[in-house]
Amino acid sequence: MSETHELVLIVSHPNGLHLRPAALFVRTAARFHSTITVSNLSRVGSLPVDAKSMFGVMQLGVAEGHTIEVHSAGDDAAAALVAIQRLVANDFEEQA
Amino acid sequence: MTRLLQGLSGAPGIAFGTTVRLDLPSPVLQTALPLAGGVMEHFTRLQAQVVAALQAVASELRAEGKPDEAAILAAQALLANDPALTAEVRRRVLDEQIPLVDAIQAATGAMTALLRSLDDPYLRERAGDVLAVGKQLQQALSGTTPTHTLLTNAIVISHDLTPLETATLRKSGIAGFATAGGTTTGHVAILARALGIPAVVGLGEALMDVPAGVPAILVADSGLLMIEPSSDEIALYTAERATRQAAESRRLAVVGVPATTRDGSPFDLWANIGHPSEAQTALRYGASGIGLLRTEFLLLDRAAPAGEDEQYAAYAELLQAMADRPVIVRTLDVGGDKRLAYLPELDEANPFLGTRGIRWAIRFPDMFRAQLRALLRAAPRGDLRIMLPMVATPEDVSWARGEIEGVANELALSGVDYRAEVPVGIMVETPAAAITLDRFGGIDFCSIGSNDLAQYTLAADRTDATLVQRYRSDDPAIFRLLRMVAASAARLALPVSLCGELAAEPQHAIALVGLGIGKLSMSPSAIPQVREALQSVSLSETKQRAAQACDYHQE
Repeated sequence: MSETHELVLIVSHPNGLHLRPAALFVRTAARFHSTITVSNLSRVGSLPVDAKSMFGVMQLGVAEGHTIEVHSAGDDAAAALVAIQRLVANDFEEQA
Repeated sequence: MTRLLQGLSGAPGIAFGTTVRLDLPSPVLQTALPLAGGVMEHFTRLQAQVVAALQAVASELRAEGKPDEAAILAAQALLANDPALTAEVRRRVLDEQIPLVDAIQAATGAMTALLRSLDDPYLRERAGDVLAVGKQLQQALSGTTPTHTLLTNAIVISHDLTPLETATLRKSGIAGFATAGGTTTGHVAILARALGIPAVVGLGEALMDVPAGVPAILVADSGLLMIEPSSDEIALYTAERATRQAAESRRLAVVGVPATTRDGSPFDLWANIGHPSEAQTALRYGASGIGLLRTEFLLLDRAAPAGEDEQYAAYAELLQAMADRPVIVRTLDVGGDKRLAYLPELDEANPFLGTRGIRWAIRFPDMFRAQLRALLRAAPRGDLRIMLPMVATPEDVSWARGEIEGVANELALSGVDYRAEVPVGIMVETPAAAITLDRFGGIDFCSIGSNDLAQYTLAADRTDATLVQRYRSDDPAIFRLLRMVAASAARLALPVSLCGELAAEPQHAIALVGLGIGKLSMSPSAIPQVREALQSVSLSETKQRAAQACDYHQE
């Protein structure tokens, strides 16, 4: 059963969504079946990109303090957003 | 049977490893490759191969306690398998019907261009990751490179490398560089020395016949590449390397001991660097200042020039790291062999005699002004000095002085923190400046750029590998000219230093001190051996050596 969810988060990691945090973000998103997109609300004209694409997430240019919007659609949409929310809230500390 | 190739020493050291070809075979060959199954299925296999190779090296690095380097490779693995890349390649292969190799090239090229256009310096650097992934995919496709050897113990064989490639490769823990083209003062050699990676350049076209995946030794000091060495040779050079490493740690141990000749005459050894991040390397090797910060590297490999704020941050970082030691920043030296993609291409028959250095600034003053603003704003953070490149006449200097004054006035009105009374000097690299140094009133110091001064004095292109062996920068003509500059500087009580590769050669450094040029700036890794050489001689011995250098060619 398909559902759609949205979430707005502030990235407080000092490196923003740069290499390592971006990789963790992408890997987290890739664990779910849902279609997940993310956009950078702090950059004018930033379009939503595939959250499972490293290149996509990189080109958002998310720096410290930027606000991102995550959108998910699919049977595990809610769980995906919970996982992403937790990752960002924990400042991308690797989960055991 | 060992095969020997002779080139020029680019950066010192001995490296053992396996050859890896960086150049891709011609696309014509690749399009003829028969593919089992569909093209996209083949691409998926290539992706898996590259991902596996990258992940393998990433876990190696993690195991070695290098999590930052591992993270870079792990992120590249994600890029190699990226749905955006797959979609771009698929569109080109299936819709546009272009060969896979070209599709990879076009897709990664477009992605790279997009990252370069972003106004975030960190992300622009990441463009290099995409480019690297594209190259690895193409190499996997052509089968020239066993990807598992791409990143460790690799002796990289290439026709020539761009500064970008050299800088990118430094992150991959390679053993050494071997290039067919290039010279001892080219960018590859300069970067390799700064990074402490052995390099042999100018090996000639014969290098391109060397296959990938064979064992090799790079005896970089002698400019030698040994292909498939015997076990005796391996033993010999392993021992040699151990001896060198012991000598190196002995030299590093004297860092911090006052730098004087045997009889107590002081000298200063400074570092030439291309990026503020190299300050730590410079200090580790015992540099007592930065004699040359080349600023082109802050501007190369990007879609637009660095803005004033980004430049300010870079200069401030460097001054902070050097903690009140002198830092000489050379203003933008574009033109000649250094081109910036986003600037107008000048139609010049002789770029080295054309609009470069200060001439470029005069022609396109906006970037120069932004750089001056950033420099004056950073100046309160330390001992900053500004050096003007390619000065030939006093008018060049008075123009620049006027610009500095103008920028200082603007800053005064804008109310930001800045310092206007920054020493301004010239790079002595045109014979005109060397011959008529006394004409240049109003400068606070001068630094001899021996690479270009030699090129212009000997009328021999320093990027031409066949010429540099015959027309050397240690020719008596150069030493006599340097003697003249040193004498003029002494008469004018003008501080003089030298920041060319001549200073990095211990025997030449001794002669330079003998000429009265006691401030020498060089690649950081050359400092310990030059220091050791200078500490072992007396002042009168240096003078003797200087006289010899001016007279005969000592072979």
